[in-house]
Parts: sequence; C-alpha cells; structure tokens
Amino acid sequence: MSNVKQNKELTRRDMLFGGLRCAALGVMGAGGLAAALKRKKLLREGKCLNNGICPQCHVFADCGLPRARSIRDKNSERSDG
Amino acid sequence: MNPMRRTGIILLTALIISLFFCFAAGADTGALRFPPPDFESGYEMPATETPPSASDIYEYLAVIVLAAVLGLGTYFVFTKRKRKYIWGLMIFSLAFFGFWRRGCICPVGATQNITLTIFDQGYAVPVVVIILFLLPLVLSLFWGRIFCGTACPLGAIQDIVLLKPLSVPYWLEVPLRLLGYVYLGMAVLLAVTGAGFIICRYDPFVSFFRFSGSLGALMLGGAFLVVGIFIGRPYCRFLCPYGILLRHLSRISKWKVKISSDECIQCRLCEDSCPFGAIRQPTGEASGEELARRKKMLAVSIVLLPIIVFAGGLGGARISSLLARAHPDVRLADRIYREESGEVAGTTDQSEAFRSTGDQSIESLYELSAEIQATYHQGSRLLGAFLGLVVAASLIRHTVRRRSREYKADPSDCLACGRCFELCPNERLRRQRIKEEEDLRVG
Repeated sequence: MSNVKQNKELTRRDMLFGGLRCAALGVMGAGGLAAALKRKKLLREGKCLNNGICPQCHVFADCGLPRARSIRDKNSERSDG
Repeated sequence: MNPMRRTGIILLTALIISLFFCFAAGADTGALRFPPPDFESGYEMPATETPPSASDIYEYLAVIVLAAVLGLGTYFVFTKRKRKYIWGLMIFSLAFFGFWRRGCICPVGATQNITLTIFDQGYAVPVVVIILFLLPLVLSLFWGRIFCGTACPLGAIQDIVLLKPLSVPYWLEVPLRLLGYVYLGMAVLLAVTGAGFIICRYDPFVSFFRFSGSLGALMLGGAFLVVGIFIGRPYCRFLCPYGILLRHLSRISKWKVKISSDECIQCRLCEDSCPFGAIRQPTGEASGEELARRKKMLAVSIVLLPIIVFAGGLGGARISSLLARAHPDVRLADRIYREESGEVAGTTDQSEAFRSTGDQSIESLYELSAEIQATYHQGSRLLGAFLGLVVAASLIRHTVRRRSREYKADPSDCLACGRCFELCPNERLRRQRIKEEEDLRVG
C-alpha cells in the first residue's frame, strides 16, 4: 500500500517536474530568441552596439578616469605655458 | 530509443540550429563599427584593462568548445562515471575558458548582460553571449550542474586547491547559501540601473586568469583560494549568482547523479567524500509525533511568509540610499554638492572632468541623481522582498520531510565532481565486472 502511494507520489512529482522543465525551456527559448531579435532590430535602426561585452561596453563608460586625467593634464599644460 | 539518447539528440539539434542562427547573424557583430577619432590635442587612447573583444570566429569557437565540454562532461558523469575523466575535463576548461580566454565572457558574468538586455531598451548582447548563458542552464534541466563540475573555470581553480576538505555544519551552510541570493539580487539591481557589473568587477579569480589586476582583486582571489584549501569551492557554494540559477533548475532535472549503481549499502563513504555537503542521509519512516510537529512548523512558516516578504521590502527601502551610492552619477552629484556647499575642499578627477567638459549643468546632474535614487528606492524594495521570499521559502523547505532510503546526492547542491561514486563500493564492483567482461571478450 505504502509503495503504491509512493509510486503515485513519484508519478505526480515527475509530471510536475516535467511540466516545469517544459515551461523553463519555453521561457529560455523565447527569451533567447527575443534577445537575439532585439539586437538585430537595434542594429537595423543604426544603433552602435558593443561587439564583445566588456570592452566598449556602455556600462563601463561611467569610469571617466582617463578623460578626467587627460583634461587635468591639458589644463595643467595650459597654466604652465 | 533510449530517452537519454533522444534528449541528447534534441539538444544537439538545438545547438546546431542556434549555431546556424549565430553564423547567420554574424554580420552584425563586426569589429569596431566606428574607428577612434584622431585627437588634435595629442590625447592617446588609454589601453583597456579588459581583454579586447575577440574576433567572431573565437566567439563561435568558445560556444563550440563549451558545448563539447558539456557533452563530454555529461558522458563522463552519467555513463563512464570516472572522476579522473571529469578532473581532466575540468583542467582543460580551466586552461581554455580561464587562462586562454582570460575568463571573459563566461556564463556567470553574462547574467548581468542578459539582465541589462531585458531592462535597457538600447542594449543588446551578441547571440554568442545568449547561447553561452543559456546552454548550461538548458543542460541543467536534464542532467544537473554538469557546467559547475566540468566547464566553469572559477569552479576549477577552486577545486584544484581543495587539499584538506572540512565539512561546513548544516546550520552554517544554509544561511551562507543565502549570500548568493543577495549577490544575485544586487548584481541584477546594479546592472538594471546602469551602476555597473559587480560580478565582473569583483570576480575574485579573473586577475589570476589575466595575470594582472589591482592588489585588492589579487588579495580577494588569494583569500578565496586559501579558504578553498579547506572549504570546497566557497565562491561556487556561497556566492555564485549563476550557481543560484543552476541550483534551481537542477532541482527539476530529468536525470540525477546516482551514487551507487546498485542498492545502497549505507557505508557513508560517499558522505565523507563529498566536500560540498551535497549528500543527503536516508530519512527512514517518520513517527506520527514528528509528522505532527513538522505540519505545525509548515503552517507557521506559511503564515510567516508574507510577513517576512513585507519586512524584507521595508528593509530594502531603508538601505536604498546606501545602494544608490553605487551609481557613479549619484556619487558625482553628491561630491559636487559637497564641494559647492564647502563641506569638502578640493576636487576629484570626476568632479573636475564634469566641470571642465560642461556637457551638463549642475542642476540637471542633481535631477538625474534624484531620478536614479527614486529607481533605487523601488529596486531596493523589490530586492528586499525577493530576499524575504528566499528566506521564507527556505524555512518552508526545511519543514517538508522527504522519504528516502539511501544516501543521495542533492541535485541542487551536487556539482557533478564524481568524488562520491569514485569511492562507492558498489560502483567499484560494477567497474570490476565490466573489466572482467572486457578481459573475457579480449581473451
């Protein structure tokens, strides 16, 4: 009796997990496709997108340090000259 | 047809289709679209600290190699069941994805890029990155965390230094695992708001892979490796945000790592061999008293769930101003304000650059800062609620008792390293039988 009950539970659990797997695959597939299409769309619109992910990545444009240094150097050159 | 083979064929077909799609979209990902300008002032473009973007062929190569490693890893873990093969594959991954590709791009860091692609209208990642991110996740739905055990260079570098493994007590392991959710939540929040990619910025091992990095980064990586001598893969188990995704997907994986090929003799060798605390003891039959106690605990946990989520949301909102300071514009606005009001003397590189370029007025900077802080307020509240949900779900999970009669590798924590079945006496007998059969055939 106990085994039958456990088997039933296992089947129910397997079904649930199977459903969840399909849902997860669907979400990942749809998400991946949407992300790929988005890139194509943005490129068609003439947007400049980064090739790799780290260099030229606009998230790292916040750094600003080289620009700041160059301006400081430039300013100090002017005041010296 | 064998269901495992059938799924393998499906996955292979999916990979071929995605690679075809990748090549078809290849024209998009050309080299630099706009060459750098000639500066009349004599300014020279600074050298980037991050590796240059590889040409397309290398990106595709990375996808192909990752797919091959994952495929081989699955074969080694589920069919060959030999630790030395898994270990060899892991070392190859460390050399290829770690030292040769200098740790970039990896699926772990790609979490942020994918997040930004979802939330930022003007940002999109190359198809290669999407595949690199999704491939291990899809695989984990079928075979668990094969990526962690065989393909991840961050895991591999920690695995090779694991010399004197000590077990972390369960009461400590559970709260430590929550740190990964905090890190994942923070990474998503900071990526969405454009503050930066903290997973990449604070990657403890990337400085080793690139043979360069700040002293702080080297010390962080060194500290993880020293801890990793005694605690199995501390970064993977307690911090890795990608590991969180893999953990949840592996929980529903179709096939799970089996320790014993025959009936478990409960020798506990597997439990001792696992340095990641992934082996679960058999629970046996529960007494009526214990079941009643657990039901009561479950009811209390369910009642507590909304309270914890709400408290998390409130707590998140309270620390929003602190989190907002991670954004460079907020920091700059704050600095400018303090300089203008005379609270601080002198300038910083950033504040000086802001004034010198004159692209933006101070008022508009303050407005921008206020907008960003408002976004952080919402985001932090959501982050807090998410963490509250994780804590409450963890409480509920620990009240539910699952029957098991043998020692099992918990699919959500098992990193598919192969240590457990290497020591299993049943597995050794199976190998001996196979060897004898082979000898007979040859003879």
